[in-house]
Amino acid sequence: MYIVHVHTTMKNATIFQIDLASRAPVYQQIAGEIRALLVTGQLAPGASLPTVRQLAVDLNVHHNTVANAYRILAGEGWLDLQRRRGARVLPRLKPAPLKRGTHNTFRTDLKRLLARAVAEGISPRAIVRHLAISARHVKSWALAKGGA
Amino acid sequence: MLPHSLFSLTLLAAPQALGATALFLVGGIFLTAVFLNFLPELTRRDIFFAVTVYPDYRRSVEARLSVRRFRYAVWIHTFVALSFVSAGVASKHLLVPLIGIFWQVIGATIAFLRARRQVLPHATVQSPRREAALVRRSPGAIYWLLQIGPFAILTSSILYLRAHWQSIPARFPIHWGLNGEPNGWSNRSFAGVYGPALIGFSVCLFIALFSYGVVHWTRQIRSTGADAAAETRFRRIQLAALVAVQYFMAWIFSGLPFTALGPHPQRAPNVTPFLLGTFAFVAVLYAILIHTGQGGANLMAAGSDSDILGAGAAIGDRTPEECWKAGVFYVNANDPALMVEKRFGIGYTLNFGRPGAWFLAAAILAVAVVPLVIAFLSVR
Repeated sequence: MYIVHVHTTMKNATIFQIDLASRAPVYQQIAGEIRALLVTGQLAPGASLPTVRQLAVDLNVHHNTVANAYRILAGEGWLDLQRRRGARVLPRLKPAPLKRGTHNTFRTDLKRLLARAVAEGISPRAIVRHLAISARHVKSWALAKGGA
Repeated sequence: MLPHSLFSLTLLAAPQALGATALFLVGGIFLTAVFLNFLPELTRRDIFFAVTVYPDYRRSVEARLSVRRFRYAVWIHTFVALSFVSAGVASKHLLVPLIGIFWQVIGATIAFLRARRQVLPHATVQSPRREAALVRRSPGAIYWLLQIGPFAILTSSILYLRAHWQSIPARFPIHWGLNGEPNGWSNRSFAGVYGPALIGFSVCLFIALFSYGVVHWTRQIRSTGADAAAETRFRRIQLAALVAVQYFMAWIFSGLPFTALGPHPQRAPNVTPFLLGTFAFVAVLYAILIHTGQGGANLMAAGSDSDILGAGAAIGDRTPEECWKAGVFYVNANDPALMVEKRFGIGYTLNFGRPGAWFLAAAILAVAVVPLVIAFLSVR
């Protein structure tokens, strides 16, 4: 009875999570989660992503929600969308050209995030610790890509 | 003459098979009762009588009482069903055992609905957190190779019959009465000779389509931890069971026309090996399903909840409560899944909120109707 082989083993699969109760739109959550996996190299170039339909079924969200997320990532140069065959991760040798105001937006977002963390009771010392860990991660991604 | 279903050939075909038939019916009803007895424990830990509950609820006194009441009802209805079968076999009336079978099904359904009503006030909201694996699902090359087998068996049967066309009598019996005398006949026509194999083709094709659906149209609910591995194993077992059913069906339908080529085509065939084989096949299938549980629930180690969704959370099956009609029929136009896990039972059911599900339901109906049409055309 165990002769049938199915490539559905989750052991080495890349997993991500979304929260439907979150205020962030679901397509942005999906795009954000996959982008994080791409930036950290957990999704390597050449890797195949599931079809829009399969991911929508697994998450129980509308097809268009997943399609929007895939389109955002394709627009950023991360994915090659293949009709009916899902998406393939593209080699992205250098980041997209920096848009004007990106630094400012990042600074504002980070400030808001830190303010929320303080408001929700995370101690400044813990915040600094998290930021130090994150900084190390960012540095390792940059080194892995041969950047500075 | 009224058309006889080809399948009735396998039931009450001859007096010598009466004992085996009675054993088959009694055994089938008993096996179903055993399966129903275990069913409340075979669902996912946070689904209880088709209601999403906290995993701890099933250990409460109230939950245990619901299970006990359900089991009492199942066994009482089984006893009544067995009485009908005994009376039917003794009086040689085919209708009476059928009433027994329906009695058991309807009785168990009423007991289930009563238990569900008792559990509904304890329903809880499923976790809004969802996880998914970024991996494409495919049944693999071995699965597709195994798919060739049933169709090869049926094709061989057709080719053999074609090669021996002249040896087939112009008119041959395919149905026998309780006295062992033939009372249903088929003629040497396309439908009469190749009909059973063509039915086998349609049945095997439908099962292949269903298997494809299990891989591509169903939801992987858990993607992390031991629960995900158990769910994956459950899916494999489901596919293996479906392949086994395809081979079993191919064996039956390729063998049926050979009654006309035997040395004594007028004599009722001995159906005892067939009945015992079917009984053994169903018993093994039930044992495997009880071993795995719905979604691999019985393969999951205790306390092995998903590591990112949090232990003790009611994850459920990611289907809203209000979309389940009587806990059995799922209707949700907003759910992209064409097939979802059954809430009471093992395996998958259709999402009737999707138009595709209605096409599949029509296909199921066609698989049931085609044999009747062919039987009508072939039996004279």
